Parts: sequence; structure tokens; C-alpha cells
Amino acid sequence: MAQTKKIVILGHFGVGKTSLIRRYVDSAFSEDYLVTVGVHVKKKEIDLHDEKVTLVIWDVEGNTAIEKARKSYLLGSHGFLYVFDVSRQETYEQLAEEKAYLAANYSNIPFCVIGNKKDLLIDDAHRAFFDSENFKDCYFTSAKTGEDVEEVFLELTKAMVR
Amino acid sequence: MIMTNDQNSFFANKVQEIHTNLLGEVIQSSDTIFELEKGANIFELHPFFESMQQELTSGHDNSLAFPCVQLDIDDRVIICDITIKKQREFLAILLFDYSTHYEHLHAAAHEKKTALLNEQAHDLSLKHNEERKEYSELVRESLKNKIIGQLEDVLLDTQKLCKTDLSKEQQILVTDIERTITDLHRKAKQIRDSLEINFN
Repeated sequence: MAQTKKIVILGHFGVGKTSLIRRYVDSAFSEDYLVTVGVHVKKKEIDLHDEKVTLVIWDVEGNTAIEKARKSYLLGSHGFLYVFDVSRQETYEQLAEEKAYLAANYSNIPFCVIGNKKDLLIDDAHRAFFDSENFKDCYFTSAKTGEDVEEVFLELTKAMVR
Repeated sequence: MIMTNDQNSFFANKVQEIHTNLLGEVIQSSDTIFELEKGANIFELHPFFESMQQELTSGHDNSLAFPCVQLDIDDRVIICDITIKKQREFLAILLFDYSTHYEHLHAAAHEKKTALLNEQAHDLSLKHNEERKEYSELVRESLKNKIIGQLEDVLLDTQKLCKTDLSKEQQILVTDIERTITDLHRKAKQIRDSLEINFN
């Protein structure tokens, strides 16, 4: 029988949370920005080590801090994805605090941090900035091209079923 | 006071009450929004409920509230508030269909956040232009002080040299140097001026 794991995607508005889910679940992408109000729930079944895992992904509305997210949405989570936008500084300038918040309040729940829109990293200086120590545990994805989207969900799934 | 039938049905049509046993099997449902068969499993109805299964089938009696949840069941999409009351032997689930309210909210939120993103993009663009202008100013100053000025000094020196007693060969050489320096000086000034034009 498949295990069911609940993943909640967090981060500021406009960082591409919905786009990441659409890319991952529906293999689709749209340039149009459509704000998420409340929560949309999607699911995808994957095989991990010959075992079926059902990922139920909660796409919650963007917030400037995790603390502001509705607590009931986070209830019963097995994993978190925290998404920021590599092209907007305000979406990653509190990254250390956000990671500390998750570690302190959801210590048993694995999470991955994603720098999305990596297709917009076009110059060497910008790329070098994200090579620094502050971002060493981050994954960098592009919902637009699909680059590394599957990988980050797979990594989180591995951590959740461990 | 007695409500009229119209008043009664306004909210009645927007609220659905579902009772299930702890396995999630529907015992009864008012079927106001979605039609559910008796015995159907709520945890298979929608991923929202599926992901709550562990939470609802273990632990103590409690009451949970989830505002603004998009539910798409049987080609019907509603945006609702969901309240789940867990009792010892059953789950009571209330769906409040607030689609109209949330759709208005969605339109307003979309407009607001799009405007915010546009404003941030505009601010970034202004900042970028400001930095480019500063950088350009720096380059212009460097061109003026370190290159154009020095070329002018060399030109003055070559002019002084021309007035001295030079051999024919030396004169040709100095004239060549003067021509090259004049050309470099003109090009450096062109670059400086083009930087000025780009930012004015």
C-alpha cells in the first residue's frame, strides 16, 4: 500500500510555488502570474525504491514569513519546501531566520530550500553570489525549464520516508 | 421571527454537513454541494482529506478549521472553509461554500500582488539605471583624468619636441606619434561623450 506524505510549499508570493507544482505534477508551465489565495491541494504518485509514495502537495498562498502562514495548513505535514526567487532579494534576505524557524518549530520535519527561476541567473556575478556559504544547502530550480524540479521533490521524498 | 423559504435556502445551499466513521466512510451527508454515497470514503474523495487521514484517525478529539480551500470534486470546483470536528466515534465535517466571496478576494489579491510585483520591478529597474549611471560617471571620470588628460600631456610634449632641432627621421617619428596620440585622444573623447549621451 502506498504511503501518503503531505508536503507544504512555503515562501513569499510570486516566487513560483504554484509553477513548481504545475511543472512537477502536470509537466506544464505558464508565464502568467496567478496569485494563490488560501490553499490548493494536488497529488502525485511516485515510485521510490520499488515502493509507491503518494505525495499530497499543499500549495499555500505566499507569505512574507512562515510565521504568518495559517497554522492549520501546516498541520500533519511530513515535509516542507521553502521557495525563494533568485531574482528578488526580499524573498531570500530572511532565509536564515526562516530556516531557523522551521528547525525550531518543526524539528522532526525535513525541508528543502529552493532558489527558483534559475533561468534568470544570466551573469557570472549573480551565479557566484548563490555559490556562497549562505546558500550551500539550497537547490536551484527553474519551473520554466523544469531543471532540477523532479530532483528536489525526490530528495525531499527520500528524507520523508527515511 | 420565522425565516422565509428563500432566506432559509440561501445559507442552507452553501453548507454541507458530512458524518463519517473513523475509517472515513460516509455515514450521512446533507449533499448540498457534493453528492456523496453512503459508505464512500472521504479520504479518497480529495487529496485534501487524504492528507489529513493520519491526523484525523489518531490522537484526541479535536476541532480543525481550514479557511479558503479549493476543492475540485466530480468536475465541480468550490472554494470553501472546512471545519472538521473529531468525536470519539465519528468525524463531523462542515463545508461552507464561500466561492463567490473568495473569487472577489482572489481578484483583489491578484490585482494588489501584481501591482506590488510591478512596483518592485520598476524600483529595481530605477536602481539598476542609477547604478549604471554611477558606473558610467566613474568610467567617464577615469577616461578624462587618466587617459584623455595624459594623452593631452603627451601631445604637448610632442609639440615641444617638434620645436627642437630634430633629424628628419626623428621628425617623421614624432609626427607619427602625434598623429596616433591625436587619434587616440579623439576616440577616448568619443567614448566619454557616448557614455554621457546614453544617460542623459
